[in-house]
Amino acid sequence: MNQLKIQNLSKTYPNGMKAITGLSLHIGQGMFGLLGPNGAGKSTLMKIIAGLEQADTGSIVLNDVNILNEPSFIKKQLGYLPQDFGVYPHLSAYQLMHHLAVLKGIKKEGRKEHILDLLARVNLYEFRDKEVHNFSGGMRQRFGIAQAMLGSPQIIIVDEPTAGLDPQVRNRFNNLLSEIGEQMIVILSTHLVEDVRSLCAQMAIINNGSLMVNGAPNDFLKSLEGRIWAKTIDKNELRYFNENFHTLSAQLHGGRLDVHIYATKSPGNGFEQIKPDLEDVYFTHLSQIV
Amino acid sequence: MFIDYFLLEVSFYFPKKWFLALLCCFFAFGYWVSVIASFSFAGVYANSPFVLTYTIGLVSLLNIFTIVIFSSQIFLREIDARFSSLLYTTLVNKNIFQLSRFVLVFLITALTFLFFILGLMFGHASQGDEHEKFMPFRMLNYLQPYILLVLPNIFFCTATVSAIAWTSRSKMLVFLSGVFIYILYFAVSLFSNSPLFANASPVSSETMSRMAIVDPFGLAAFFEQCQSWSPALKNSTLLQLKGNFLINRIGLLVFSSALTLLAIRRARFHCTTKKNIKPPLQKAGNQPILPRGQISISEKGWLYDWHTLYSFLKIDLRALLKGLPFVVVIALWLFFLGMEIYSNIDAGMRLPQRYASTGLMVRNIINSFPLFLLSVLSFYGMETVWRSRSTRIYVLEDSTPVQVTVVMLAKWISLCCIALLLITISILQCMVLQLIFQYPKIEWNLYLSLFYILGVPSLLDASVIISIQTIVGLKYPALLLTVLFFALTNSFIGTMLGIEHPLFRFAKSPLNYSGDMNGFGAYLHAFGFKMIYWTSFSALIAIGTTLTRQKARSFSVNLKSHSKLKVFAVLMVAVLLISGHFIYQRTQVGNSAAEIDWMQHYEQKYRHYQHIPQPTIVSVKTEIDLYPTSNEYIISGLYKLVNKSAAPLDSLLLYTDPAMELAHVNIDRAVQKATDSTYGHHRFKLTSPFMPGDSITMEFTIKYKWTPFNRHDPMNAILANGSFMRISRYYPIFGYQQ
Repeated sequence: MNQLKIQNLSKTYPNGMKAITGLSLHIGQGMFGLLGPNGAGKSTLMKIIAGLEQADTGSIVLNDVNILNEPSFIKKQLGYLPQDFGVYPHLSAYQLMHHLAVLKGIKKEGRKEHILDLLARVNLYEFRDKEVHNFSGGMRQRFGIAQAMLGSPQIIIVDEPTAGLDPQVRNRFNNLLSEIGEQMIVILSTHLVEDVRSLCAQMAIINNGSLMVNGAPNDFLKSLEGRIWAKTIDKNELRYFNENFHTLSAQLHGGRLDVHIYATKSPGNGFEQIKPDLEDVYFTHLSQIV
Repeated sequence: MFIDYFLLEVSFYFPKKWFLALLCCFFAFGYWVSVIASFSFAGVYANSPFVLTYTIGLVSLLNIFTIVIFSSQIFLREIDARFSSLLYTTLVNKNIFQLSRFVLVFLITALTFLFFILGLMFGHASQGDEHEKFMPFRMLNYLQPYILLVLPNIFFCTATVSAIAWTSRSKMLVFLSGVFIYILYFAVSLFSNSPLFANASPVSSETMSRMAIVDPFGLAAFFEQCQSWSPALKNSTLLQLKGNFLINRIGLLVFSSALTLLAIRRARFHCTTKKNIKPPLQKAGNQPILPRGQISISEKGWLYDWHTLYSFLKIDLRALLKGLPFVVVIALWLFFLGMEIYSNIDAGMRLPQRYASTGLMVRNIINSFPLFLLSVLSFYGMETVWRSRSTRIYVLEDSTPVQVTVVMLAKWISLCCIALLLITISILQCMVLQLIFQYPKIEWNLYLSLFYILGVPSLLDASVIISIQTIVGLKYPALLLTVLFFALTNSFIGTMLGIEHPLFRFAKSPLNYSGDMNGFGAYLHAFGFKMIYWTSFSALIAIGTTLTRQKARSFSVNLKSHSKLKVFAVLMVAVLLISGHFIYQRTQVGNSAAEIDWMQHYEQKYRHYQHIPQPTIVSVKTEIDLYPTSNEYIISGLYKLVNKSAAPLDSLLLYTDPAMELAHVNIDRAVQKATDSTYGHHRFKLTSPFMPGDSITMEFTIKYKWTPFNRHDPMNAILANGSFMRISRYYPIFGYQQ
């Protein structure tokens, strides 16, 4: 069983911006969701784990090896799909996969079959001879996951993988992640709460470079049962509700606002108790109500 | 609107420290030119209108490089920064926006050159008390060529380069446009026998007039106007804006304006539409999923390094060979080389046509190749090192265990391939030319030697270019540093600045091909040692770069490979020191200033001997032993000396050329009192007076040996084959040497 232990990790950029502050986290086999708003430090954390950035203090131990001291250890068993990546022009999907497969140290015997298999798994087999440079966003993202799976890695890091994908591609992508997540550590960094709910058995929320909460989504949902209330209001009433209640979210629905609030007992005022969802968990912890 | 756009662009340069440093460099360059450059025109002052116009006009040819570097940065900024789609969707006025960038390139170049002129003025002013050399300072002497020659030339070059940048949007073509302007200019000048070239043959007035009109840099018109000027006129008269010079300047301005307007109109201001591939709708999960665990074997050690090296190399070479720019590079090079060879065979109107021998071909390749290759390697070095970053695939590559050393090595090999490919193509072209000019005696060995003579320096150039790009970590500053490095260590600019010693001339070693008689002669030997020295230097730079880069990327260096590198570094330091010492011991560097100093000191020390009578040599018997293979000869001789003066002599002053070694000397009745090896003098005291009409004998042995680490003296060239020595010039003689 693979284990990734992050202890007291800190990172400050040369311009003085604190990206990570004293973060500690245990990640076991399976899919792990990392939630947080934009700029929370998710990508920095991913880059540090992938050996692309240096941490100032702390340790990251993968199966008893501190990868901050030995980044090549994780690189040998890592699949990484960054938030944004480019490709060489004039290289076909197969050629580019081949290049990355060589860099990952995959032996010649079986390399071709492995690449074609992965391309097939992400439905790019028939485009294997087309230039990746000309792929649409969804295809490029699927290429990204295919390359991340090269060499059967023990740990896969995917950073905002479904950003910009249409719902169908996103579903297909999530299925693929869920399938590979059964056999290795998959760290899914996202700000899409839906993806974490549908895929991850464990999750953490980080904000301003610090860990807010860490655990199983179901436990979080249970802890909020009976405390989330909803009501549909006019847009101009929002200020009143913000001032008088712990407003978690306000989403437009048919031109009116669906407001969710946190309250340990009935707030009255026409609010109805609802079953909490992970988004409520997310906003509850971000607004530090609990 | 123009002002807003312009100020926005200006903010990239002002008040940036590096830009101010660049201006200081141009000032310093001007100062050094004023101190060191000596364009000798009899009776003409160094700060006369003529010499200043000549100097400023000549140096202004370098503006092309300034324009090319800034154009590739300014005109293609949004493409570099991936900002095109945002910029092109704003309401920005394309024409005014492009014009603002054009004006910026023009003004930056004009400003940098103004600093050169200020440096020149300062240099001249600081030496103003040398009245033999300088006339009273006149500001107009500097400003007039700047306004009439430099500014229009900058306008022309900016127009040409910007037209290529806007229409092609290819950085390589922008770089090549600079090279192209140069080549075109030199081609036109060579074919027209421009006075710019020292060996130009006299030309008819029609040709001169035609050239005066078409020369885009106006130098031919300048030469035409002042061809009959006396030194007095050259000292007093400014270049007149009349005749062919006026036509030339008007024509240049009209052409450049029209080209700029046309190019602005045709400039593309939209993203290239790319047809994206879209997949057909597919049902989820319709592909078979293979059981896991089939691939988990990974390669390690040297096999892994070899495969990653090969993979990077394939990508770099594919990018190189598939691109149109490389085809243009080859075409330009073949055109330039062909033209050089043709003009060399033609030999001008006063000489018969030369044979298209392999030697002639090789000499031409050796003369032209290094500069051309350096510009190509500097560009491709930048592109190659930054390819992963500019395509943004580095995040995927860097998350793999690939070694930094391997990536750098692959980049280096791909640059080496460019050099070797260009050498091969040059050889093939020369063979074809030999056949066309009906001289089919192809000397394969001589052609193959080019891979050593040009290949080795090219590999070292490539190594340093990769190291600079990697270690600086910023694309354009690294390019500027590369240009500066090679300007100082490889060009005449470095020589002007006093960087003359072979230990500071990177991967350079003079090679004289002396035709069928002697080939490269002993010079190959010195070349080999210098290449060993520079190889160890390049290796040390590469090791430093690797360690820095490794540390930056992996945060902790692999101790095993680290210690291997350390051992290698120690070895290279040893090679550097030993070969450096070896070269240093055998090299004498002298420049004209040192030579003048030497002459002055000689005069001060020995002038009083001018009127002291010395004996006359009336009989000479010598035996000369030649050792051509080791470039030496020994002369043993017997002189009969007679005192033909009216007074008795009590001392003698013997002189032998300082290049000669006086191994043995014995003069009757004389005792050697002093030896001055700096000036080649030996003082003797006679034990009894040497009376008028009396005679004595002198026995001597002198030796001469030259080393290929210094250039040979054409009058004293003892070679393996084809020696020419005017030996009598080097025999010992008596007295003060005028």
